[in-house]
Amino acid sequence: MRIASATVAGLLVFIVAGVGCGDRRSNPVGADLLNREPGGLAVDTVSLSGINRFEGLTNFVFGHTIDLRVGRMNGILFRALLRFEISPNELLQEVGADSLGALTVNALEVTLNRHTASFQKGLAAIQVSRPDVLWDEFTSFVDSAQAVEVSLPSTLIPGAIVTLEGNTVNIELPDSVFYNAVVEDGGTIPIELLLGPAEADDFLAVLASRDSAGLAPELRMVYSAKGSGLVEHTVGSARDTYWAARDDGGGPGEDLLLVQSGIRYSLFLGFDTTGVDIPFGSTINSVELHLDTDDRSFVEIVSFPLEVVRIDAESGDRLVSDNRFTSILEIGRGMSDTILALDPVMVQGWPSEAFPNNGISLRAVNNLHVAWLVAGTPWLKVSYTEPPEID
Amino acid sequence: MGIGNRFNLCAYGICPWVALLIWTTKAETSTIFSFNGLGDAVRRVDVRSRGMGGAGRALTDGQSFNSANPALLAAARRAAFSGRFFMQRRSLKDAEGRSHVVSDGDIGGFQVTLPIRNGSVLGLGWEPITDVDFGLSVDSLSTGPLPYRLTVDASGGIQALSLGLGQRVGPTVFFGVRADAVVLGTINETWIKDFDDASISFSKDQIVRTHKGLLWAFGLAWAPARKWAVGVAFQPAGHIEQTRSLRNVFSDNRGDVYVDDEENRFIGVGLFDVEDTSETDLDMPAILGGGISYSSGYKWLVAVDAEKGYWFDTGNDRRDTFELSAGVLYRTGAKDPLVSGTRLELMGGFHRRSLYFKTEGPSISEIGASLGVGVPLKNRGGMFRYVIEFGKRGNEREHGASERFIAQTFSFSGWLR
Repeated sequence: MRIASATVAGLLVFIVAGVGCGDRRSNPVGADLLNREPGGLAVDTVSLSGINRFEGLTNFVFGHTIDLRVGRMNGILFRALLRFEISPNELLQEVGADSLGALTVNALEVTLNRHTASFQKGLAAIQVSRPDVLWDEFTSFVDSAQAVEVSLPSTLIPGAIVTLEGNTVNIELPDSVFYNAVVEDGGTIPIELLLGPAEADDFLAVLASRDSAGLAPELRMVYSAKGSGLVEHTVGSARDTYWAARDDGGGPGEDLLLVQSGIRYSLFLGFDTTGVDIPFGSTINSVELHLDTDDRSFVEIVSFPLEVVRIDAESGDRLVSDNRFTSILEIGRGMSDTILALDPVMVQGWPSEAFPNNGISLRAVNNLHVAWLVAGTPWLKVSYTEPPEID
Repeated sequence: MGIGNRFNLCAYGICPWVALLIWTTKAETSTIFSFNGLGDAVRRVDVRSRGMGGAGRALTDGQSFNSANPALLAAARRAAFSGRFFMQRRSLKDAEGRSHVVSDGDIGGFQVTLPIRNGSVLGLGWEPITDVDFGLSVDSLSTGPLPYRLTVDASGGIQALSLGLGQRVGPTVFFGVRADAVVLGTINETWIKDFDDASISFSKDQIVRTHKGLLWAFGLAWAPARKWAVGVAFQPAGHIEQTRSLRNVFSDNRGDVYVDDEENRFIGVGLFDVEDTSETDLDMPAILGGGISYSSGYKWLVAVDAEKGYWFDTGNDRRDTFELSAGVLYRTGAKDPLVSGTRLELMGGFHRRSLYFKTEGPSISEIGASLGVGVPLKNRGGMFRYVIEFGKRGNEREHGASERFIAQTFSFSGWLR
């Protein structure tokens, strides 16, 4: 019995030792024994068609941003408001007059500096008006109850001349602006301006607001009184703001491939998969959305995060989206050929027949600003691998 | 004397060793050539026959658990049980000089024999029929625009629940029939393409094959003289149905984890329930085998077997197989009916067989030599057998790869009453 016990025990030790450990590396031997194709890699391009859709307004207030924007881009108007407050006592003291009626205004000029680091696209005519309603830097120009923009009545200032010298915008105002602003027994002389686009062509001027250190707007007044020489009086803007609104035409046409934040526009892209035959069971390895970004795009901040949503179904105007397939993508400022890497899962469902192809939509995530991206000729690059042969 | 004494496995502390072995070895054991087709056909001989080179179709001494000849079932005189476990260490090499070592193991099956009455014996068992074990990782085999690393893993095999019936006619003639219900075992393949470009996600395709069907085998053994016996077995050609399911990485079960070579972890998202499923009928070959044995009475036992498998008729990419095996068993000491001492059984043998996988060159052949020992358990209530085999399969220049293997098999068998 001892012999048997020892024999068995010895054998078991030998067995365990004899098994040993295999090579922990991956096995490189046997490539010639594969007699089935592993499945090839293919790259297909899919053309896209798209429309934009207005999604709503954000109740933004731009009274404390460093920008004042003036212009018209893609059916969106940008208008700025400025208020300068002149102290009448200071005016009188400087020339030794005792009444404002004794003053003669020789020049009244507003100077604004451009934010040269910001996007600019030409500089068409700027129209100068006087706002006819009260406003301040906390004014929202959106009627959130009705979800529409609030119009602000104004009166055109005839004789105002706007010129551009380097990075400076000069607005020469008629002296009537001053005289009309004088209020008897008023503590200050308020001069308010509303700047907007004068022409239909797209342009955007990004100007410095009073919150831009060293670049704030200034009102310069040259005046004199009887017996005095010319005196120059300069004040900075007391308050300023801007807002954006759809123009009278209702904003951009739906054919414009636009995605915009603030005044929210989503871009819906449909895929023309004619001629694209991704075999059932294939694995989508990468999906790239090429937007060929148009130079009408403007991204004011470093990134412009987008949400890409697969369209699950559409019933009337109601959209059903599946958030499992969203991707947050960012594009940099100044990119001319935007490529967005999409989650392959978004496209995988088509060859897997898990859900129908209803296209995707792009939406801006951060709506505290008004920024936009215009796509030129969007297309999709799909890389996929076919499954291995079964037999 | 109860089962606890006669079949006292744990008296030797064997159970923890078995647990250690099962835990340390990977649960497949086969050949690198098993990838194509249905896997490598498992030699359905018991451990005693393995120690004798695989010969044993004519061992009618009632101690055989060979499924290769169903007629041997009829020789059983007592209810018995047998279970076996395989381990293998393989050294792989290809024509480019690359090499790799694989250690793996697997359970070899369980069998029970139950004599009924009037010479009838019932046999129940669970056995593997084919075995698949393949692993490969190479840089892209294609020259496409996006290079990738291809990893292929295949494991599993076809298994069956067997039901046999043996009938003894007089002391010298034995008949047997066995039905193999192919209801167990899957063959799993995983193909992973890991792209060098980090912006391209990997692909992972899984093919799972399940099988069902019924296969028959018939056997006859004749022991005209006390020392001589001859046996023949025939398995007719048959069919089994294979269901194949193809799933890609997006249809993986939620939570399944895959770790690539850079230790990046990917978790199956389980998004889609869709998978590509198809069915096909598979032809199983006819197999004809036979053997002859000689026993000196107590000390010596010699056996020689031959078998042919008609695989060519089952598919264009297969070849007929042929196996020749021979072996000898020697018992130590003298005949000991009073169980007063321990008697060991020593076994040795060799075999040469061909595999059915088609290659550009000659058939893939396997040659091996085996040595084994059988140790009776307490009061001869059972037997522990251990066999070690050394051999080689294939030729790297003719077949793309070769294997040198050291296979170890052990079994426990015992009487149930």
